[in-house]
Amino acid sequence: MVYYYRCYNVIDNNRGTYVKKINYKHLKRSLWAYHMNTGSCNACDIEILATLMPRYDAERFGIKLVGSPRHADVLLVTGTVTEKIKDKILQVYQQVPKPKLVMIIGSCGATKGVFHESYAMAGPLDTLLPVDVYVPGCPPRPEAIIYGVAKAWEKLEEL
Amino acid sequence: MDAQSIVTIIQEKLGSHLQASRLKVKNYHAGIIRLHLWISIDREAFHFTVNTLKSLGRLHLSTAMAYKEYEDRIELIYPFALKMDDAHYSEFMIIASVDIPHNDLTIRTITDIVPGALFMEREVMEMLGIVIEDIPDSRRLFTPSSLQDGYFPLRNGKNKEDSK
Amino acid sequence: MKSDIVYPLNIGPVHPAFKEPIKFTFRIEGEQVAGVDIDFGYTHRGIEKIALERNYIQIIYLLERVCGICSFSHPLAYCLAIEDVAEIQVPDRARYIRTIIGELERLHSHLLWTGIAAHEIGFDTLFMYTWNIREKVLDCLEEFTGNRINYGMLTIGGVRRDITPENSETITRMLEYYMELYDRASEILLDDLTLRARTEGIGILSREQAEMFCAVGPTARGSGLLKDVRIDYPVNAYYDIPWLNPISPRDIGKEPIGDVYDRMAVRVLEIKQSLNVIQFCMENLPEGDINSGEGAVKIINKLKKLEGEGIGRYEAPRGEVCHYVILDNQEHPIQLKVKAPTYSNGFTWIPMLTNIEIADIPIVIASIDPCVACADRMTFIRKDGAKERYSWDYLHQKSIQKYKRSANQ
Repeated sequence: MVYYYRCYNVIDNNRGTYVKKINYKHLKRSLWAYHMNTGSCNACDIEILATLMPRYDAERFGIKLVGSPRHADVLLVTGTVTEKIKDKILQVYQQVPKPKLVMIIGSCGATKGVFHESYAMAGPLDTLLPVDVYVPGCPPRPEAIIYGVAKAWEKLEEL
Repeated sequence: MDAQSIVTIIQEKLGSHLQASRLKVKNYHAGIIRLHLWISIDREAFHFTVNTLKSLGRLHLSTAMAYKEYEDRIELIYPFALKMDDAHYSEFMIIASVDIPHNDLTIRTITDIVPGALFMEREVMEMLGIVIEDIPDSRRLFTPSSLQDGYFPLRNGKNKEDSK
Repeated sequence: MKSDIVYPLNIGPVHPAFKEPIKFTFRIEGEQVAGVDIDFGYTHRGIEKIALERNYIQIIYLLERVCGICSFSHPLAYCLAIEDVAEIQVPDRARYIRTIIGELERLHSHLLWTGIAAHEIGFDTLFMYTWNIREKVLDCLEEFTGNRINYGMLTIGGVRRDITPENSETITRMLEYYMELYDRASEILLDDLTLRARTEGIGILSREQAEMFCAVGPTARGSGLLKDVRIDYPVNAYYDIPWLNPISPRDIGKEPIGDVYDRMAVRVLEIKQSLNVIQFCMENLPEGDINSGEGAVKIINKLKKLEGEGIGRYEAPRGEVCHYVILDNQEHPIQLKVKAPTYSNGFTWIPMLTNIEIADIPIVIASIDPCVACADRMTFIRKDGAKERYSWDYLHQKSIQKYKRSANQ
């Protein structure tokens, strides 16, 4: 129900003239995430899936992977941003309704990591998008990913 | 089949087209050997060579094509894995290299013999600028279409015309 | 159902059916796929170019990041290639440890694939079940190597960590756990009517096509082509195992036709094979050194004085990994070529996807266990900063125009 209520608060600053302050307090606990791979090596992706599986079971906190960015609260980004996918990540970011959070999973999204000399990179991601939570590690453990989501809650409560 | 007889068969089949060959054998216990055979071939005879190798057994193009770049030529390396009988541990590597001069960077496609080579040939075309003749699909594989024409990412700049 | 209306269907590069960016453009006639075009390159990281600026030891850790799932196979193929050039003898104990870690990786990769395949056909209970039992092998790998995914286990001329007696107890418990579960799991995967209905007879790749397109790994073996680097070519400790044979669907009494079910059967049987190989290696683990005892600096100094070409092959969970290295008296190789299994298998998608229904697309694509990160390891460099960009809409429009043209012809 939190999500349903929030839909009415979304304001399109580009088109609408009606501006209302978004109440971030309604976005608590049940975070829905959209996962996007922007050139990662799969390690972070399988750790995100492992986080949702019965052993770690992040769904008990209401965290869920959704199939469309339009349903998401959090954009989980893995991987360094390559030149060829740069446009796509910007488009996906536009499609996520406000208020939205961006989380980087893995070291290479935050700093380009081991690929730092490569010419094929458009990243790191925080030069393109506002990033809220960084989860370092190559790949981060599922516990670290859950901790990162908990940090995102804390951030939302402060807003 | 021992190493020397395999080499003899290939030498007989290829005849004068074989410019040079080098054999490297590593012996494991109980008759298990690992065999790597390097051969260099004329550009004109390369298509014939691949055809000949295919008639000997199960031919598999094992890795993406490597290359060595010199001032006047590019040496293109095709590593094949050839299996001639059904026995275990009988597959061996034939690493065929072809010299292509810089002033005429063309080679005939082998996709009519080994269709699985298409991705590798497309990669060679976009990365090294070697023109593959009669290739069924000449689009780029990895690089974006915005990359300017006449620029080939993996050349190392040893050729003088490149550095101009 | 066939119809006269032909329309294009773009899937990807960002789509929930694939965990990785890859773009398929299908030409659809009614409900059936009439043609397919694949666009790679979205996860291009330029690894082969970066490798030329790193030294021989650093490259091992770089190559672990080619693919997070085959993070043992790629550095192993590279180490085998370097050992081939430098004629380094690997101690017996290291050979066995390499085999054990490699098989543990195969086990976790095949369980992972089973889950993904179940998810693609909508059987989420099985997805949860296999990913849950997969945690056991990850625990085992973590105890051996210190990490769940990127192990950092290899060095040139051996391995970096030994298997202690406590570790062997863990592995015995893990083997017992899987042996107990295997019968139940294989019954679900191979005999379940719903699964059979969704996988039998679709995505067919004939033996001739598999041979023609140089298919590797379970994709080739599912079509009845007995191709397995572990058995065709001596690596690690596999040639010490007398009973090792390539798996084919004939082992469960079915003549292979190369459909999705056959590829699944091969992977399920390989889970059992991996368990047996691990057991054999643990029982016959020789005593001795695990590496040459030389430090990284000494190894680099030795390789700095060498010239030559080497080749390293290994059977990754998805198929053959092959690395070609050229050394030329420098601190880094002057060339490193990486061939990942999906690079070979990518071509087999075209015969598999032709003439299937739209609803079967996800499972057929998943059936070769694609690893786009591996296939896109290549590089591109921009000479200047100029960038030309096409929007998604523009590309979509372009592709519609193209197919309108081809439909009119």
